[in-house]
Amino acid sequence: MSSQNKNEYAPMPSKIQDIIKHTAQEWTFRFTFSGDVKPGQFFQISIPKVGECPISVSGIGSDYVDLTLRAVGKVTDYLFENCKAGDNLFLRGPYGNGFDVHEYEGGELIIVAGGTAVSPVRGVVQYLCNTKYAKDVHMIAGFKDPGEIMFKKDLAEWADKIDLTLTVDGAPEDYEGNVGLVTKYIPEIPIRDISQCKAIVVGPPPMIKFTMIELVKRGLNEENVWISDSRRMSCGIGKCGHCRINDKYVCIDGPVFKFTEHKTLID
Amino acid sequence: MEGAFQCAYSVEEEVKPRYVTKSEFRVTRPENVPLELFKDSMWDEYSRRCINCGRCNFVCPTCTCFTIQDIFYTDNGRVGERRRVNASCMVDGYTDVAGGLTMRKTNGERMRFKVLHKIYDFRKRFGYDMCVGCGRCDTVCPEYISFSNCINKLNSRVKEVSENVQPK
Repeated sequence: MSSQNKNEYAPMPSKIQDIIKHTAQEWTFRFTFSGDVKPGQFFQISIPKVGECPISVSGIGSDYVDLTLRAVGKVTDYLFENCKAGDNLFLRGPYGNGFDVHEYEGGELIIVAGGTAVSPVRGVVQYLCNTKYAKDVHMIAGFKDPGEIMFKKDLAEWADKIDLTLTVDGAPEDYEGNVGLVTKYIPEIPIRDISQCKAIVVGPPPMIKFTMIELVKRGLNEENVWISDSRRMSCGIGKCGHCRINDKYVCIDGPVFKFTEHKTLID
Repeated sequence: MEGAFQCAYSVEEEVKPRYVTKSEFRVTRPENVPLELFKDSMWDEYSRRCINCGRCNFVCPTCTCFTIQDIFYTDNGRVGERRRVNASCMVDGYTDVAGGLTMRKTNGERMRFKVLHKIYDFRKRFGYDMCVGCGRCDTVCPEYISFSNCINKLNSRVKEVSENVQPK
């Protein structure tokens, strides 16, 4: 088939290599895929008879991509109930712009991530962990409660390399870690030069809003902030219209936006 | 008899068919729409009037939104197809994401989204307006909401807002 006649919607077969269970509701599926992928991009998981759903890439390997998902919809419920390692499914992608990891090399970086939103930035952190700039990465990862903490193995690994603050919104009294919203820990981040510092904020919209207020209070330049957005998507290639905000399509212009640009997008 | 027909055919008269050359209703679309108008109270009217039936979208010759849907047949469950089906930005569910979040809840917001796409956002990205001015949406609306009136309203609102801006 010539490239001109290529069917953009035709998914490619992909085998589930492994399933990593973080919590009862959140699992990482390791799908076979080889090709260029950037953290922050997403794939459409495609199950015939059920449908498709866009899931962001949480890990990249030479012959696989990790897709971390929560069982909240038709496709994800089907995956949780019926699929096991070794099964063959379909994927199409990668779509979206993703994070440019080189952008964050060489300066201080604050990463604030809430819940499943750790997955789009996981690739960025993993990359920076293996560079000499790891010490300048300050990450605050927030989860609802201790039982919801995901990527425990990664977080333990990162804690040695970067400045990591792990916090939960609420916890039983005997919990020993940090308790409080991510915004509580922003004033405590040790930053040498806030005016040059960059930031990535990913999470639910209210978290982004209040995190930005705190970061700006500390003197961070809004120009230096990236966020990752999510919308309902059907096609992934800027045709179906579902994810459009103003003149931007989240699936091709995003999901990673500069904060200053995102501010001008009104749903 | 045949002769009469031949005679009739041979007489050729010049015919000048009449057709519509000009729309009586004129619309003026705003060149720029300031960001504050996205949250303006002018859209509240449509929250009250619109019943989000989506007809304006379905008759629109420039509406192209779709949802990808898997349809499998009941007589043979192993046979089916994945189709693109018409979607409407006015109808419930268009912006629903798994987990229960809806991006545009009110019909006023949806009206704003649609109107600005047709006459502003699309032009901003692709260089020309999407609306062709056919008026189908005006005709089909069961609540008599006029898209063309809305464009004019928006235009005067844009003027008002830009005139009210105090020079710094």
